[in-house]
Amino acid sequence: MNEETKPVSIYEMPDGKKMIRIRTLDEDFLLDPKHIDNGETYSWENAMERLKEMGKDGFTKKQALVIATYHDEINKVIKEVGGDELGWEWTVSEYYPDYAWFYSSYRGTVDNYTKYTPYQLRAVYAVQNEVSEQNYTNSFGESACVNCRHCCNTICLLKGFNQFHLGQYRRPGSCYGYKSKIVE
Amino acid sequence: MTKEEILEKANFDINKAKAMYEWLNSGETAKESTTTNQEAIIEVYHYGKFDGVRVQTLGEDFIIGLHDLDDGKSNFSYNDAMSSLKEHNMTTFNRKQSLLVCFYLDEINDKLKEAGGEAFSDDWYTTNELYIPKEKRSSADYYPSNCWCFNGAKGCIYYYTQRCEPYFHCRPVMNLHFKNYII
Repeated sequence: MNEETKPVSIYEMPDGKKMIRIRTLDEDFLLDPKHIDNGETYSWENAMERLKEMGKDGFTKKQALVIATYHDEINKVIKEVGGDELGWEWTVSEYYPDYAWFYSSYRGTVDNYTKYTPYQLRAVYAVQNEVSEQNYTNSFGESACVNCRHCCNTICLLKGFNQFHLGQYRRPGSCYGYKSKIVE
Repeated sequence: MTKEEILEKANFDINKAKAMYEWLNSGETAKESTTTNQEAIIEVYHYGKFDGVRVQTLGEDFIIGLHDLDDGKSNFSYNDAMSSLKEHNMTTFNRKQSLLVCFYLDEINDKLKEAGGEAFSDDWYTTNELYIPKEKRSSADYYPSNCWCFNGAKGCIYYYTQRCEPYFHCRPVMNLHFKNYII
């Protein structure tokens, strides 16, 4: 299979930093091969604060399911680029007010647990240099993000589209997710 | 009566049988996905007497039955679920298929209801795959009887240690990988 078409591949950012590109089903995102803060663990609330401080996004529960599907391949590529193997990591998706979803790599599980639990954190990024000129519309008939195809902001790729699949965590100043819109 | 006539009377499709035999001996277990950003085809599907929702993506091609085993009235241990499925020449999800179900849970539940079936319930469903840790890192990893399972309401995947206790629901599945090879 051509490197370009593999679901898991190495992606070089404009600054030369190597990322893990995961492109499958309706997901296409870049996973940072390194944990945030050298693998420091955070409660879920602190993890979300830390991401906000750094201007970064974490992966969603749905993306965690994709990671679980390809965990062997992802760990192999992470090793190739000298990153940190997947561990116990928070997603950005809440389950209940006191519970959030996490990913555990060596077992390949996706489950929820109390937000006070300390887990590691990993950033994800959007693929920025492949913004298609093609127009997409979301379920409201609005011009939609070319990547998540749900939110109505076509430039959400540059602001972190990954938060918007579930609409549960909304970064100030960024566009809103389709589920958030239903609530509003 | 000729052999061909006997086979025809028995409604036996020799071409299908030949294709199946070749596939079984080919060493190929499944078609691998060669494309990325591949979205799933999820549709109501009838295959012989098996009605359900067909899911095709990432090299998987399977039909999810409309109802749980025993209509969801009973819980099964992993072993009992596997025996019961075997009696009916059926199987259930493998780990990858269960992840796909979790990923597309809403869409699949909608299609199950559309087809007159039941959505997955808020229970743990067994897969047909055992959990075998590559490294034993915690006490749980020393249990010899773990199997993968997923929750039908939460859309998450885990494993459970008590394979012999009637803990799981079970949804029959029919794999259609071989269908791609039959002309």
